[in-house]
Amino acid sequence: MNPCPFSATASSHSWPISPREREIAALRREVRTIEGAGQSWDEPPLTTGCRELDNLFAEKGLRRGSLIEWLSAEPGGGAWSLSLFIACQMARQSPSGGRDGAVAMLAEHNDFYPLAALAWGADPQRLILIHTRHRADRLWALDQCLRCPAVAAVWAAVDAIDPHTFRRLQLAAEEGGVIGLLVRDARVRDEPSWSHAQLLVRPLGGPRQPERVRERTSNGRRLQVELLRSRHGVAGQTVELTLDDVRRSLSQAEVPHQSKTPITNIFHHPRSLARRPIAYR
Amino acid sequence: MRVLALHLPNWPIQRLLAARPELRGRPVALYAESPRRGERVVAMSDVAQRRGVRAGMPLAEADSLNGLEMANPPRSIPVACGSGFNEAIRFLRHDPPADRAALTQLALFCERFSPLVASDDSQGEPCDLLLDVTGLGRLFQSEENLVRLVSETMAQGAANPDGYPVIARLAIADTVGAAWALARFSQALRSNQQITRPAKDAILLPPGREHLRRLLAPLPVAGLRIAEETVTLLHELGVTRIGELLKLPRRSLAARFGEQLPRRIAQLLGEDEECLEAIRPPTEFFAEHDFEHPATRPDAIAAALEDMMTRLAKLLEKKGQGATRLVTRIRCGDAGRDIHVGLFQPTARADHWFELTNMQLARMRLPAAVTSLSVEATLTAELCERQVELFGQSSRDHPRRLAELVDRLSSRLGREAVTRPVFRHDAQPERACDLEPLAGNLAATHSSGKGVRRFFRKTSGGKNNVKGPKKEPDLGRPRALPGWLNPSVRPLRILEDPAPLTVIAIAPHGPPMQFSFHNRHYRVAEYWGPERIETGWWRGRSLRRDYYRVQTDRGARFWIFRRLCDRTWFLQGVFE
Repeated sequence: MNPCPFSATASSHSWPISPREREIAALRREVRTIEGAGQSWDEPPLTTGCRELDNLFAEKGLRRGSLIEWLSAEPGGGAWSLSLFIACQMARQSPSGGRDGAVAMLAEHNDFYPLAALAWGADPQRLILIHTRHRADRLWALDQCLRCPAVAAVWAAVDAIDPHTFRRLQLAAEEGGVIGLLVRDARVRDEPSWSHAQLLVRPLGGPRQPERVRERTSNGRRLQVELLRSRHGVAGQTVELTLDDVRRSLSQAEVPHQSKTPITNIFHHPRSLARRPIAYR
Repeated sequence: MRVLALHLPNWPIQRLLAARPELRGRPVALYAESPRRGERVVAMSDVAQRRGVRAGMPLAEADSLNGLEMANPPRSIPVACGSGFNEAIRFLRHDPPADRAALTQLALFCERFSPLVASDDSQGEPCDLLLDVTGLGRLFQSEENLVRLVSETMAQGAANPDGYPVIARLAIADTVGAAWALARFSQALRSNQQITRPAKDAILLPPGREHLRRLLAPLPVAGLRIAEETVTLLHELGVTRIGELLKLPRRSLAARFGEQLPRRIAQLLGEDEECLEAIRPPTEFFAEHDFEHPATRPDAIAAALEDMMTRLAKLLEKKGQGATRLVTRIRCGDAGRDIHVGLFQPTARADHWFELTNMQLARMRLPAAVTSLSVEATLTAELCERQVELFGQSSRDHPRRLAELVDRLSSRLGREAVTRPVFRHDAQPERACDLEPLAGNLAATHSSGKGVRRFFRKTSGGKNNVKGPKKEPDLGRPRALPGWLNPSVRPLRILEDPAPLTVIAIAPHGPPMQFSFHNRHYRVAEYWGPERIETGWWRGRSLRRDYYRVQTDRGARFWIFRRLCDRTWFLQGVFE
């Protein structure tokens, strides 16, 4: 697969870069620096625990101070589990006082089961569960958690976020240097978004298995993750993953492939998707 | 001495309905678990009482009054149908720490009537307040006016933020025992010219202990604040009234019934002095501000508040103390509001206190212009030392910032909104997780932590979790998870009320093959199970279910179960 010449992170390629391409790459870096003023570009990005998933992101991982949306394609699809697993990974890579970083969790639904969150490896000493009755309180609490540098990751299952509030949340994440993982329903994919990346998580099924009874084990969940939008990278890529819920690990299921959908530009408004795609050379 | 007693009948229910408006007018009952007697009802609302629920009734028996709707779980609320009488009775776990905390709040509210307010817990859980009103009649023009004012204040709901009335019976007498007995059993008194009734459910005895023996004679012996066993024994002996008891020689009562009975009689008649132990002892960390003219502008009120907090912070810092509980009192003439702030760590930072207090003040509706303000650090602890960083913020500052975040969230959302999960060994998944509040509770930071909330159950019987001042915010002691608990076993979403499903299974006791939910059809590609979960008979209606984790042909995963008693299927959770 030929690396995209427009990618800012392309480090090696088989043909010489023209001066024009070099200038475009430099301008992209400058725009990224200006837009992500609150993000620390000196620190290495944090890994999700799976190299293939990391490669979906322009920075080959998640940077502190970024908001990542995880859209759930259907109920029971695994978006919550995957994002929660990644939140725990972020906390492990942000130690504080010799222990994992703090993780704040907000769920819009009253039926969120915190014990399952602990089962994913969240440190109970570092877990803050926030329950709210009103949407305004929920968004305020999310804003407060994103602004606190002592929090490693914020995991929130929220659906309705107006653009003004979303922008505020993005700025709060940049200010606090916190990674925000917002899990939402896939119905919001056409709404304006201020997240750094938006991913769609779909479960991958299979043919019906022969009748057998299993013990208390699972053979992992196969999920497809598609990058719908990315602030600094190329959208449209997909990766198939296996989320092993017994060993609590994430690995690639298949080689990622390039989707045939047109690349998006760096703007987030859905109207931009209707623009004429730039052809690859 | 003159004592005003407030009896709060059915206080646990009153507290619950004040905190949860959605339960008002509905049949609600509280139950508690006893190691020997099992789960029994301790209190119930009027609607539940009309349905036949009684205090002391076993929970299983009370639950059977819900009718024969087997499709719904026993403790659910179906769609409201107006009167609440046709609804299923909702059973909630009794929360004594929350009752005590609410009573303490009410006692602090009543400090506007008397500087010394105490609670009485002679009958187990406290539900009475005692106010020392000696010499205060003149301040309110007369004792009748005082009683009328207290009664009206309670009835108008000034003690509750949303105006929910407090039902209280009041009585003033010369002794604590007499006031207590009259507040509870005044309906047994015959009409007497010496007895004044300044308001409904309020009674006032004239000063002078010489009248007590005659006026209190018709009251039942339960008015003596004695043990229930002693009352039962007296009834068996045919002694039901205080007057009959007073005719018996006092010396023989001690030999027969123990020392408590003659001591209570002596206290009732004023022969023995009885002290009131104030709920709030005098404090040295206090600052107040009186406005020259009543203030209505928020910036003026905020400026005065900030100034008081700065003074108080300096006072605390000098003594090496930090506040873990702060009370701001806003007086608006006769009325007022209190703001309580609980802190995760002892702090002496005025800006942090101001931020937390202002958060609640901004959302508060004041009844009138503010005449005075006061701030009091009601609970303090030793300040944690922290090295100041010269350049920027480092991770060493994280514990403090985390504590401030928890304080901010708890201040605005409530203490019970910011929690951490705690695993509990219980077969029933809904009961296997407790939620412990993180912020310092209002009762005490150093004593046993109270108010553990059961997941899906708003009340719990409180666990002891000793917390003291720490250098880093310990969000909780680690509770080891069992080895079998992994994400494949329990879903991230568990429905509080399992949803009925239509399932096709090959065999009556076989695994599911297809199921329908919310007009969507799912084909099962893989399943794991069954996992049988049963609860004991002492829980009331026992559960016997076979749980299956199913994965559909589209890859979605659900947690469903078959109820063994009738083989109906339900959706319990979703592996999101």
